[in-house]
Amino acid sequence: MRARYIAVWLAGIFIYFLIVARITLFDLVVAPIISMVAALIMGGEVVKKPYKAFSPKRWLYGLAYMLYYLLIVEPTCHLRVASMVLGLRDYRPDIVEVSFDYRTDYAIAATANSITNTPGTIVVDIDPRNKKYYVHWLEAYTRDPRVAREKIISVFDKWIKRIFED
Amino acid sequence: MRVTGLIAAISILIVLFALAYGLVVLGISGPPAPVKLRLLGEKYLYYMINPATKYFTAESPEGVSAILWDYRGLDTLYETMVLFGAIIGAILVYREYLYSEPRKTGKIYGLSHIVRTVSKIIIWLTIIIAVAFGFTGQITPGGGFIGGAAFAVAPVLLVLVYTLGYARRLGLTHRRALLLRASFLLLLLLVIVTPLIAGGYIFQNQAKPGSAFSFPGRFIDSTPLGGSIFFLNLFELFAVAGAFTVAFILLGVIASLKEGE
Amino acid sequence: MMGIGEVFWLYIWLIIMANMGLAIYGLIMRPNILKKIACLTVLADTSFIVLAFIGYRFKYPVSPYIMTNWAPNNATITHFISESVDPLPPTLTITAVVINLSITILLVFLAIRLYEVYGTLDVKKIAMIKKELRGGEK
Repeated sequence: MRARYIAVWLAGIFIYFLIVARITLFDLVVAPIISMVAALIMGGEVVKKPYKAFSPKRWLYGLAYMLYYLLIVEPTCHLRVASMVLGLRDYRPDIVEVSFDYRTDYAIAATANSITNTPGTIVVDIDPRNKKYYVHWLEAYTRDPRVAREKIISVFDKWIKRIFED
Repeated sequence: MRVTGLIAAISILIVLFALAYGLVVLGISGPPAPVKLRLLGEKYLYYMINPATKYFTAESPEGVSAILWDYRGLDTLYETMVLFGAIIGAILVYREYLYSEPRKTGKIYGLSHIVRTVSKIIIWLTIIIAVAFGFTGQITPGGGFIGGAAFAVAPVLLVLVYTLGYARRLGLTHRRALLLRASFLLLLLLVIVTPLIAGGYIFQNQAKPGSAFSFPGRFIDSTPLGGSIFFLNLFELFAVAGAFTVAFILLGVIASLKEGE
Repeated sequence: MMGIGEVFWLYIWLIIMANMGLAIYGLIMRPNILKKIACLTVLADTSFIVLAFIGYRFKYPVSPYIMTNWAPNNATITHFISESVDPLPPTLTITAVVINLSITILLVFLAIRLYEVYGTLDVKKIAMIKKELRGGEK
């Protein structure tokens, strides 16, 4: 329980130096105090398993996922939607159920945000109890949640699991 | 109805045209597209961290904080009073709700799972940035007022995205917020009257003719502290944050009660 | 002949005036109190932009009012003054932002109370209800 607060506290100190971009003795004295205020209020909620937050492997995977997402996934989806707009590609907009099997909140939120941020798909609602997203999809040729999952989530799946789960 | 609307629109246009004419053509606020500084602004910039003028310096490299809490300190104190007067007025209107428990309804209150997860991080970052504004108000833009207003975003998000019960579980109750506001306002007043007790002037920051008392102008590593500006910014931050938190918690209580009806 | 600075200045003023006009119009003509409050905040925010533009300087090396040199001498201060914008309008803005926020909160609380008493936020309907109530007393 206490480890959570310490993890959030250390992360807060890092965030402070990221904001001010300056290291003086004054900042070194002030940063722990500032971070402590935030950690005392939100510390118990931000992190559930603190040992995960200090794994460099996860950070590297996160960085790699960011590059992969911005440089490969995003441009391909943009091209697909652009060709739909130009009439080169057929489309069938609908809202479909997509199942997922994540256990952590951050994995669910990260996948949902990844889906929403790519053009052509938007997470409209979520049913955490039955583990389903409701996704507005431009190419909804199927209504089977498993097939939709293959088509929509499988791109992010292994990355998100390596970053936030296991 | 239509005629009154037309008359109102025309009169507004005339007033605005007169205002624009005065400001741009007649140059009431200085020349259009100003290149030179006004004399007052130039004086403030010259004196705010000037070791050569010992009796005028505020030891704060940030102009706005120097003006707010040193050169025009009493003005800011009265503005703080206006702020707290407005908040107290708002609380007075609904003070009977302050001590009533939020009604527990069967309805799901709050936003979806994804928004909750993301809001956790956003609230945490907001608090860090807001408190950093207060602590470094004398060297970078920000300061107590802005920090407090930014801090107030956290309770708004907590009450809107989560429920009021969640905010209470995190220890964000109106009693604590009122305590925060009152205690930090007292500390603020203490900083203001400390020079008076030490034989100086009220709201004195650095040494003045006739009073050698001065707040610490520099940190150990010569980072400017701005003397009393650092403390005033810090206490103002928590006082403003506490005041807004009380108001927003009260709004949340009212909303939850109205929802039950 | 106007320079680019003056043309820009005039353009900004026109936009600000249009914004202010809309806000004042809404403040006077809209019967709903929530819309009046929204227009009031728009008016306040526009006046902050006015302050920001009054404090700006139309020259090329222009810097914020923050001294980055923490041990200045006379030469660095003179150089700083030659570049910096006016710190006074932002000072007015900073306190005005917070006071505007607190006054908006007060108005919102009063509006909730008004809705509780009259069941509507339309000032015309409220006036009618008040007239009826007064007639009932006589």
